[in-house]
Amino acid sequence: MKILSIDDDPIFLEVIKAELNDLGFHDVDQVQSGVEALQRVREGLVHYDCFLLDIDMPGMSGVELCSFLREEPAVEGLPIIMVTSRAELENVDKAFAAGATDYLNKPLSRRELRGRLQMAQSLMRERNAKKDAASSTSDVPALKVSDALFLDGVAAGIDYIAMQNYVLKLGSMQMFNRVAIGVHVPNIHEIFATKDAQAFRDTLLDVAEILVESVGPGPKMISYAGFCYFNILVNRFSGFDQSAVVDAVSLKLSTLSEWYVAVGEIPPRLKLGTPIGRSLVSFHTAEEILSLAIDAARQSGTAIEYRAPVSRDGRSKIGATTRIQ
Amino acid sequence: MQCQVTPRASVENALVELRNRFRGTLEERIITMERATIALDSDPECAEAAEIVRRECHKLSGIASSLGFDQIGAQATEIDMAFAGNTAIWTQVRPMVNDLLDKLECELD
Repeated sequence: MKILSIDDDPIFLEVIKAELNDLGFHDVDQVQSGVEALQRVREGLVHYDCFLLDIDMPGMSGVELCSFLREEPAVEGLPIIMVTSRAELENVDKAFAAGATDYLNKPLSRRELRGRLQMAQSLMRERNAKKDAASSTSDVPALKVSDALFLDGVAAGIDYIAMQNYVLKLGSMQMFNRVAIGVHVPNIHEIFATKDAQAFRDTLLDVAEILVESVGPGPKMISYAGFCYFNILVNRFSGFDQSAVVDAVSLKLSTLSEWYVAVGEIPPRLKLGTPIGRSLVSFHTAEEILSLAIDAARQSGTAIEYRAPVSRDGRSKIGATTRIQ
Repeated sequence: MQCQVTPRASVENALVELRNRFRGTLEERIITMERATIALDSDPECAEAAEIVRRECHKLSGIASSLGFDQIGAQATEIDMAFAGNTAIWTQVRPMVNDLLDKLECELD
């Protein structure tokens, strides 16, 4: 695994390199600024499999660098691990929002480093397997319906594994301030069966965009967990209103569905779970909240109705609301 | 007979060398922080000097403990945390910085 380590402190770079070597990772490049890192990636002379980014660097910060790296096709799906001190934990939120996969604490713990690198290796293997499975005639990697998918280009979209790492970082107390909302796409197999990988991906991105726009303006994250489930994480106290969200999703989904039907495609159906939070005396761990949100969507989620867009005179354009499923 | 170096021994050797390199940077770090400290003593609101102290402490916080200088790392982390809250008052931070400078000077001896 080829690793690019970025930190403005040359001694810290050497410490990381020594520890990585000790763990069996000998292919490590080092640069001291975000600008140099971007240049390396854009030149494309070396292909990296994993990035370790210091957060607090002069000039381009680690969070900014993470965001720029995520725009590079060569970095798509690759693990970006932020290296951070205790004082920067607030910036870790921003880093996850910018596309970070995980984070690592300073001072460096060998055990923590090993754990993160093992995760990075499994991501890399998964990514390579997908590439190998891709059709030789297509640039689009093959997909399985069970694949968790990075919501590329969707505001607030992050990898599901990054969302899991994020809630782990939040811990139980801070998770009290968040709620997770699971979203089930019951007809995902039907959609998957009738589309190629790119069209299937586009449908999931359409759904993600609708969901992000519908949950309102507060801080949020969304990920696609694979199989047929999205997970949205929002701030419990930013005025999240379940019925308003259902209304907004319904309206946007109706417009989207009209378009799908017009081009002869199957429109997605959605079931929105009740928000799952953690009370202060809850026995559930932070990471269990994500699974519970998915369970809630699957077992008792509110089926989103297709709603006829309303014309300027206030009358429904195509008649009554249509309830699906 | 060939000398066999185990992986962990190799990283320990590297860390010994890095500790020495780190010690070699301490004098410059102390001078940088002392200059900023003098500036803050005359103008406690001087943002530029405060940022120099914060950044030095931030760097020390990450590197010192990683190399086994735990007391320096812990003290630097405390100062870094104080600055991170944006509520740092120089007269309160000053004794912490003094303590850190003392610890750094001990490593020079």
